[in-house]
Amino acid sequence: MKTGKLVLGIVAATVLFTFGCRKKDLAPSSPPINVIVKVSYDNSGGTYTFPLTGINVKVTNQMNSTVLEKQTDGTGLAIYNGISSGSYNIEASITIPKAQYETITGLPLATDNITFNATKANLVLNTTTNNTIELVLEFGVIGDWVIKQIYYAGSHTTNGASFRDQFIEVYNNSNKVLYADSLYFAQLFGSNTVSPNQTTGQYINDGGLLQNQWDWSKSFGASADAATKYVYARTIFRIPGNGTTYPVQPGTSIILAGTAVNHKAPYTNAVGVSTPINDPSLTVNLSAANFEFYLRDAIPNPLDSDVDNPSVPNLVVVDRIVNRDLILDNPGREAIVIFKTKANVATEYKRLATPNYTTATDTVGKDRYLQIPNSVVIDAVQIQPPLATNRVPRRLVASLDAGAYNVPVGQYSSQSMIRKTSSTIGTRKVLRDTNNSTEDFDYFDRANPGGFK
Amino acid sequence: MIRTRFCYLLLTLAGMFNSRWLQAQDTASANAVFAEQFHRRYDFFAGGIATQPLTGISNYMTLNAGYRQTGGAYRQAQEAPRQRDLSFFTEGMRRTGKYLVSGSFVYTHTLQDSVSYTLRYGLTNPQPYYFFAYRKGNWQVGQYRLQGSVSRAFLREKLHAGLSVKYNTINAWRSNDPRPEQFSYNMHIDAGLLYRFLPKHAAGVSGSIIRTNTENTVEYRNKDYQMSLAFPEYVTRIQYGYGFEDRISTAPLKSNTTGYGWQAVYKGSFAFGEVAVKGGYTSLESKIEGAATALLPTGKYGEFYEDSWNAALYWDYQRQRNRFSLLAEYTNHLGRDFNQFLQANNYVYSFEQLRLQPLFTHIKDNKPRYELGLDLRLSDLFRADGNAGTLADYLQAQAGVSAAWFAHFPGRQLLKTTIAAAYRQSIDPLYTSPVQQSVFISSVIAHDYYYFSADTWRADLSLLYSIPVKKVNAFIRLQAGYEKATIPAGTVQAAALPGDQRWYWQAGAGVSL
Repeated sequence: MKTGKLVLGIVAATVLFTFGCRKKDLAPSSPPINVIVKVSYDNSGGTYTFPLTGINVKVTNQMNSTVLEKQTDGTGLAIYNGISSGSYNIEASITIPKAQYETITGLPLATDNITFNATKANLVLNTTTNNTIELVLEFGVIGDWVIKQIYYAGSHTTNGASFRDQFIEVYNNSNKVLYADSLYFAQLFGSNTVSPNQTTGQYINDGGLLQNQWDWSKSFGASADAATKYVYARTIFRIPGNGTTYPVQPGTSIILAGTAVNHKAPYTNAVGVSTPINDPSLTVNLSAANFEFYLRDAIPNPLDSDVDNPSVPNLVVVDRIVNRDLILDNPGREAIVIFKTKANVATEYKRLATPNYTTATDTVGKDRYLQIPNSVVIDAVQIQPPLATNRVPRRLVASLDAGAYNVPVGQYSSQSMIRKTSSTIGTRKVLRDTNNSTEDFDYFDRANPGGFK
Repeated sequence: MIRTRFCYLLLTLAGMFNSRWLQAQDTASANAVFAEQFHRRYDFFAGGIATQPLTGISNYMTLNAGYRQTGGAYRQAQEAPRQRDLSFFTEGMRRTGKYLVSGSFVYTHTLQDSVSYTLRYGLTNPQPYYFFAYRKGNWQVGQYRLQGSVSRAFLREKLHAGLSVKYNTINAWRSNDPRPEQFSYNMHIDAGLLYRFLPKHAAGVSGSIIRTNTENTVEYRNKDYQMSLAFPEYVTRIQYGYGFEDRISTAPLKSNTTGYGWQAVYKGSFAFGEVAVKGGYTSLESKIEGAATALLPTGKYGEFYEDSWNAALYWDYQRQRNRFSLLAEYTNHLGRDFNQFLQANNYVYSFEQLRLQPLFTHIKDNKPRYELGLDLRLSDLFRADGNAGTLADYLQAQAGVSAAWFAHFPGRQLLKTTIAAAYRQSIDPLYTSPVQQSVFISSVIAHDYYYFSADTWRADLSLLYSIPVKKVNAFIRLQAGYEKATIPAGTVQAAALPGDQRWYWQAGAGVSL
C-alpha cells in the first residue's frame, strides 16, 4: 500500500513538474527585428517642402515573398515591428498632383502628376545590422516618350523563332505629335557578378540600389559622379531622319525590330539557310515594324541571322561593343534607355573602361563604354531574371528606374513586358509612368506589338 | 551495394532463427505470443543491450508481411492524404549456451499520394532544415531497419556483456516536379553490461555512438518550373526553422549527425511483482550544409543540437490466473539549432510525453483468455521560430481503453478479437501568429494549429486468427481504425483547414513461435 502511494506521488509530481509550466522558457535567442524606414526628399534641385505624410513604403522579404506596406507618418517614418531577418527590397513612392506640385515649387508641370521614388534592394537585415533605413525620394524622369513594350524573352528555340523576334516598342505618351528622328536607343553595360570581390574596391559597396555594380568613379579618368550621374552603353542606335521625317501621333507607337520579318513564317537567313516555324503562335509578325536593327553594313563580322527588310528603315548604328545585332539578354540581365541629345554622341561623350583597368596603359585595347548622362535620358527600364537568386547588380539609379521587372516565365517564353495603361482620354491611352518598372509594367503571355494592357 | 549488404544481413537473421531453433519449446504457451503482455515485455527488454538478458525469453520468433492503407483528410499539412505501405517484419530471440542473440529486420515500401509543402520524407523529423515546395507530389519510399544484439554470460550468469547494432536506411523519391531524392542511413552501436548483484536484483549500463547521414537533391524534368515565378508552386525553397525560409537552387542538402548516449537499468523481483526501471540520455549534433547562397556564402546553413531523456518503469505481477502489468514511460526531446545566417539560435523543438499503460490479462489453462488495458497519455509538442515569429505549443491528453478476447478452438486454433477506443483532448493550444504571413505559415503552420487543436475520438478493431502449421503458428490479422476530429473554430488565418476524418485498414499474415 505504501509502495502504491509512493508510485502515485512520484507520477503526480512528475506530471505537475513536467507539464505545469509549459515551454515559455524555451524561446529562441533570435527574435524578429524592428525596422524603421525614414523617408526624405532629395533637395539637390531646391529646398521645397514636399509632404512627408502618406508616402507609401513597401517592404518585400525576398526570402519568403511577403510584402508589407505602410504609409509614413508626419515625420516621414514607417515602422515595421516584429519582422523576420532576411534580404529585403524597400521602396518608397509618392505621387503628387500637378496643382500641389506647382503650389509647392512655383514651377510649371507638364504632366498631370509627378512621382517621387526611392529604393534600396537586397538589404540584409538582421539583429546585428542597423535597421534604420534612410530613403531619399528622387524626382523621376518623366518624358513624353516611354518604352511601352520590351520583348526580350524570345520564343521557343525549335518551335518558335528563338531570339530573332525580339523587339522594342516606344510610345508617344503625350498629347502632341512627337518626332522620332534622332531618338537614341541604348543597351547598358554592367557587371553581372552577383557577389564580386569587394576587397578590390572596384565595386559599389554602399548597400544602395547599385550595390555590387562596377564603381565607375574608380575607372581610369573618371569623375567622382561617374557611377551615379551616368550610364554606360554597350550598344547605341539612333533613329534616322531630318527632325520631322518620322512624326508619331499621340497615343501611337513605333516598333524597333531586331529583324523586321514575319517570324510566323519560315525564316531564311542571310546566307540562304531556311528554318521552319513549327508553332507560329509562339512568335510575332514584325514585317510592319517601323525600324529595324541591321548591322550587316556596319560591322565586319555580321551574324547570318541578321537579314534586312528593305521596306523597313534601318536604325543608325552609333556605337556597339561585342554585339553583332540587337540581342537583348533573354534571361533578363538587361537595362535599356532611350534618350535625345544634340551632342555628337560618338565623339563628344567620354568613354570609360571598367575600373579593373587602373592606368592609361591598362585601358589600351580594352572595351571602353560611352558615358551617357542621366540628364538626357527620357525613359529607362531595368530588367532582371525571374528568380531572386539569379538577379544581378542593377545598372540604373532610382531617378531613372526605382524598380525592375521580368516576364514571369523567363527566356524563350514568348512573353513580353508591357507598360500598364493608366487612363484613357478620348481614344488616347495614357500609360503608367511612375518611374518604377515594378509598378509600371505587366506582361503579355504572347508578345503583342501595338497591344495595350 | 547497400541492398546487397541488407540481403546478406537478412539471410544471417533467417539463419539465426532456423528450423532447428524452432524446435525449442521453452517459451510461454504457443498462443501467449499473441497476447499484449508478451509484446510489452519483449519490447521493453529486448530493445536495449543492457536489458536484453532480462527479457526472460529464450526462444521466440515471428515473421509477417502486411499491407496497410491510410486515408482521410484529418491530417497535418505535410502528411499524405493517402498512403499505402507494404511491409515485411521479422524479429526473434534465441539462447545458445552462454550467448543470447536477438534481432529484428523490417522492410517497408511506402507509396504516398499528393504530399505538399515538403520535399523531405519524414513528417516527425525534428530537424528544421529541409527543402520544400508548395506543389503536391507522389512519393515512393523504401526503408530498411535492421537490429542485431548479442550478449554473453560470465561469472555463472552474474555478469552479461553485450553488443548491439542498429542500421536504418531510407531511400525516398518523388515522381513529380520538383523531384527530390533522399537517401539517409543511421547507425547506432551500443555496448552494455548487466550485473546481477543479488539473486533477484540486477543493474546495468550501456553506452552508444550514433551516426546519421542524409542527403537530399532536387531535380526537375520541366526546367521551366525550376526557374519561373509563373509557377511559384514548383519553386524549391528551403526551410530554416518553423517559418523562416528562402528560395534556393536545387543543390544537395547534406546533414551529418554524430551523437552518443547512455542507458541505465535496474530490475528487481519482489513480493508485489517484478519491477524494472530504466532511463537514459542521448545527445545528437547535426551539421547541415549545401550550396553557397548569397546569404550563406560558405554553404554552411546551421547546426542542430538534440538532447533526449527517457525514463520507463515496468511492473509485472502474476497472481494465480491473473497477470497485471504497468508500463510508465517518459520522454523528453529538446532540439535547438544554430542558424549561420542569423548567428543565433532560431529554432526550438520540444516534445515531451508521459504515458501510462496498465494491462490486465486473465489466463486459464496456461492460455490467455482476455485482456483489458488502459492507455493514458499526456504529451506536449512545442515549436518556435524566433526569426519568423512563430510559436506553437500543443498540450494533449489522451485516454484509451482496449479489450481483447481470446477464443480457443480445438486443434490449438485461436481467434483474438480486440476492440479499442480513445479520446484525445487538446488543452489550451498556444499559437503566436507572425507579422509576415508567408504561404508556408498560412498553409502549414496555421493549418496544423487546427490539426493539433482538435479533439478526437478513435476506434480500432483487430481480428487475429491463428492455426498451427507443422511446428509453428500461422496467423492472419485484419485491423481497421477510424478517427473523428472536431476541428475548433478559431481566429488563426489558415489557407485551408484539415478535414475531420482519418482511417486505416491493414491485413497481414505470418508465422510465430
